[in-house]
Amino acid sequence: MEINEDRLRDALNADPEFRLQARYWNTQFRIVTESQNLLVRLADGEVTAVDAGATPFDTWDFQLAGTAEHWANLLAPVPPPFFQDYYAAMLYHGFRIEGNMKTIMAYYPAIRRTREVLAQVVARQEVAA
Amino acid sequence: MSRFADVAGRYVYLTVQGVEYRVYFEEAGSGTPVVLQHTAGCDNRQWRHLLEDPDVTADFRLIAVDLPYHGKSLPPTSERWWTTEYTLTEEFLLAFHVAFVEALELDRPVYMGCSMGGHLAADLALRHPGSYRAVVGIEATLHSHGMERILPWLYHPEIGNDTKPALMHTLCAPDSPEEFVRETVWVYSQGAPPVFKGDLEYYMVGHDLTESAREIDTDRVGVWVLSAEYDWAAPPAACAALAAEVRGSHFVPMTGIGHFPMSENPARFKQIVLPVLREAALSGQVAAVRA
Repeated sequence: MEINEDRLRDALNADPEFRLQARYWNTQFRIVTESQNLLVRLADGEVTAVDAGATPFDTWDFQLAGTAEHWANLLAPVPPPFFQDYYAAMLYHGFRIEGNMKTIMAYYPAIRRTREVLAQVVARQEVAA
Repeated sequence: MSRFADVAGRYVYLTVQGVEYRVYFEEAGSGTPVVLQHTAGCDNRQWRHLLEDPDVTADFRLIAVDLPYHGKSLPPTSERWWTTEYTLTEEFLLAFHVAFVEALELDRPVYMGCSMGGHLAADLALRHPGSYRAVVGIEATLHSHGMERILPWLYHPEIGNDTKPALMHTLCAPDSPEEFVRETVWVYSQGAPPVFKGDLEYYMVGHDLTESAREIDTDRVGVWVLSAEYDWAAPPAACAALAAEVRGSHFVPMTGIGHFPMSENPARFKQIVLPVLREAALSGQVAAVRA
């Protein structure tokens, strides 16, 4: 599973629920899969970049990190039990939500929505392929 | 012609642990009384679908209560409640429900509650088996220890009132109808800021039947444990562990549903709960004959 960084940026910016819940947000967070390390940068609630070339020297506030199996289940059309959200996957399946917990909790409505947007992006990529 | 819901709301004044509370409840239907308890940080609107379903209200008098500090049950005017952090205790919950049943002069009702209310089902069965003919614990477990460190984040000056409902959204099943998931989440967004955390002091810390669940006597009070497949707060294994400890209890798995069955997927929940309520109502008759 490859996540197209440009499609993810555009999809997040076009999603009304994500934009509403991400209002005033200035942050950078990582989406980590087995093959990708995407650095999502937000300025005042808008995704300004999804950087596919992130390195260990880049600062991030929190990360969403999992194996290929984690992501496949999280982004499935109907996720299996306890893959319906990052939080449940963290508690029961070893998925990792790590970083500044105050930021994570304060913006969890937006973070929660990223899973649904990611699922849409991946589904559209598969249709296009 | 206007369409009205066949649901009536009233207030009753209850004195619990020496304090008078003005308590709001809604009711609908006739027949075996069923007292309905909402989840932590929420209110009786969670039960609205059941209260408006004529297939249920034909045989059952449903009574959905707002605990003090929840919904329309305001904090007591006699207390300086703003000088201390709200915390719910098991002793208060038990005393409240016994007082509520007495005030409404209910004849050994069925009690049904979800999550925090599910935990209370088992606590009532243990401590007040004579007051109820049966209890239905939805998402009830022996305990919910292990996540206590989340509590400070749930009443925090720098975290808004959208976070709690977002977390509740994650407890719903992916196939539950979105309009009802969103309604469930909306109701959660309206709890007073300290209440969810305060309720979880009972849910996560106070409630623990690990050593005592086996003392519940199902000859005196019927016990049902309903368990949802997608509920990560009370996973099926934890619900099954409670049922296994209570000899004679009934364990009912609910596939494709999450932590809030009555509000996130009312049609599916009705299919599951109606046979349970019918059997639970009869368990009172059996107990009465034995008495």
